[in-house]
Amino acid sequence: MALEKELETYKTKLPELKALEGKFVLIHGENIVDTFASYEDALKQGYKQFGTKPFLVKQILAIEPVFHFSRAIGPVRKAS
Amino acid sequence: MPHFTLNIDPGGPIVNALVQISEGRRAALAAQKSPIPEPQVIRALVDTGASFTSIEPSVLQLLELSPTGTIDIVTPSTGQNVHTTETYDVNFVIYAGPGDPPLSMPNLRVAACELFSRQGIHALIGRDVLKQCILVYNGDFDVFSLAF
Repeated sequence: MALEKELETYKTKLPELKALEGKFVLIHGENIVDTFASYEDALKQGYKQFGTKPFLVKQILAIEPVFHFSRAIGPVRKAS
Repeated sequence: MPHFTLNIDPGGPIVNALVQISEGRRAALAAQKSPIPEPQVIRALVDTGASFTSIEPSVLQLLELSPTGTIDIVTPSTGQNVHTTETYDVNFVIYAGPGDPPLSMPNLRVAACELFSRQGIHALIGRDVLKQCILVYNGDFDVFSLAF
């Protein structure tokens, strides 16, 4: 799956990241690059540092939100 | 306040939107001297039942995007089970009336979700975008208005 390694890194590091809840973390592979106040800032740094290589931007949240859709749609996960 | 009023399509309140790569990705491609994918005009349904804006994967493929995140979702097609879907950053623009500035979101995070093309639409405009808008659905006159 795309971003599988980055998502695993996030899960592993979440106990340490919880002190920064609400901020946005930039992850590349197994590395936590930095945290940012906004999604836009994290994204900008990700593209600046990694170009079009895979990177993950994720808001640090103790409880993952679930988004609801009243219309039938299909989730997408690409093979990496 | 910029706004527009459109007839309600048989499929619901649908707008044409322009979707293109985000500012950050554009800068990264320019630095690599890579070609910039063409912007895509899409049909997007204003959907107050969607908590997140979503785009059909075929549109994201035309923009040659890679995912930069994931979210967990529940839809009637997933039943009670939570599923994970990829998210992408795009520059999303909804045009208003002539002379009015468009609603422009240069780094909007959108979810990739399938089945839209069979419904005659390419995207759902969810409440994450609508929180910036005033939506008036006038069923009596068969029109809707969006102000932002």
